[in-house]
Amino acid sequence: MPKRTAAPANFNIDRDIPVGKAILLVDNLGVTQERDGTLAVVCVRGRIDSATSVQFEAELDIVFADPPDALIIDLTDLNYMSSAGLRVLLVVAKRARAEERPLILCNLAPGIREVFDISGFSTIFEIAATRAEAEARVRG
Amino acid sequence: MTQAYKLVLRNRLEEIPRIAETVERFCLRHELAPRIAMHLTLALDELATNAISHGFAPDIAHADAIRLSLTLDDDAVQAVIEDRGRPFDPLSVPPTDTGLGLEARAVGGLGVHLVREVMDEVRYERTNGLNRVYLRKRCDNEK
Repeated sequence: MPKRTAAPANFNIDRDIPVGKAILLVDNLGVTQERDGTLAVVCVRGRIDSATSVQFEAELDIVFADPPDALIIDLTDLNYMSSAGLRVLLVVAKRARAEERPLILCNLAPGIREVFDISGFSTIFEIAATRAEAEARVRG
Repeated sequence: MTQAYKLVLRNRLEEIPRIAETVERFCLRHELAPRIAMHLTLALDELATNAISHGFAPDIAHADAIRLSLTLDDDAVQAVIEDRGRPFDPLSVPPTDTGLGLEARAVGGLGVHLVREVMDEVRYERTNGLNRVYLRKRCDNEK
């Protein structure tokens, strides 16, 4: 068997954590929400898959039970999302659009961004690079 | 070809994170890039999720509903996932139109699309009462 190099030649530290050190994808889901006036910010960490998407959807239902004027979903610490998570985000986006509540996602890790790109979600969703940029946009 | 990493799953969605665990151990062992691990995990997760969600009567638990194996040959990871559920060819799912706008996009149905996109090869066969999907992911061209 050929010996493999530890990292591809064009290794990108922002995208690939060092080979041999990674436990990337196994974390459970954690969701927190904060309110700043009528803006709601939901922070998601860990993984959204078919085992955790029900919990993710329930947390977002709680947010909409006391509807904010605008919603930011911060995905900084989300390291894995399957189509089960995309499904929940699509439901939320349709609801936000129908109720005319701006929805902005921010801080997508490159792996998450790739899933968005493949799914065509990068053009469906408003996506900000940072939380500050997202807040500026909803307040602007 | 390397010794296979194997995993057996019950037909329960809470088993799904175990796929990531096995894929990561496999990829660490073979010094494959995290992006390869992500794509393999995603494809196997989507196929296993479909099998668990639609392939079995939910009130009957099967200890060995789904079997996975992972091996590495010269330039690619070969993954096989087989389940004992109802016959289902994932390649029969029509392509997703990813160009539609928010209102027009249907909810759901993206799983097989993701599998096709992140794998280099996907083949299905039904034999001996098993659905079997062969996946191939090249790892010599990771960019």
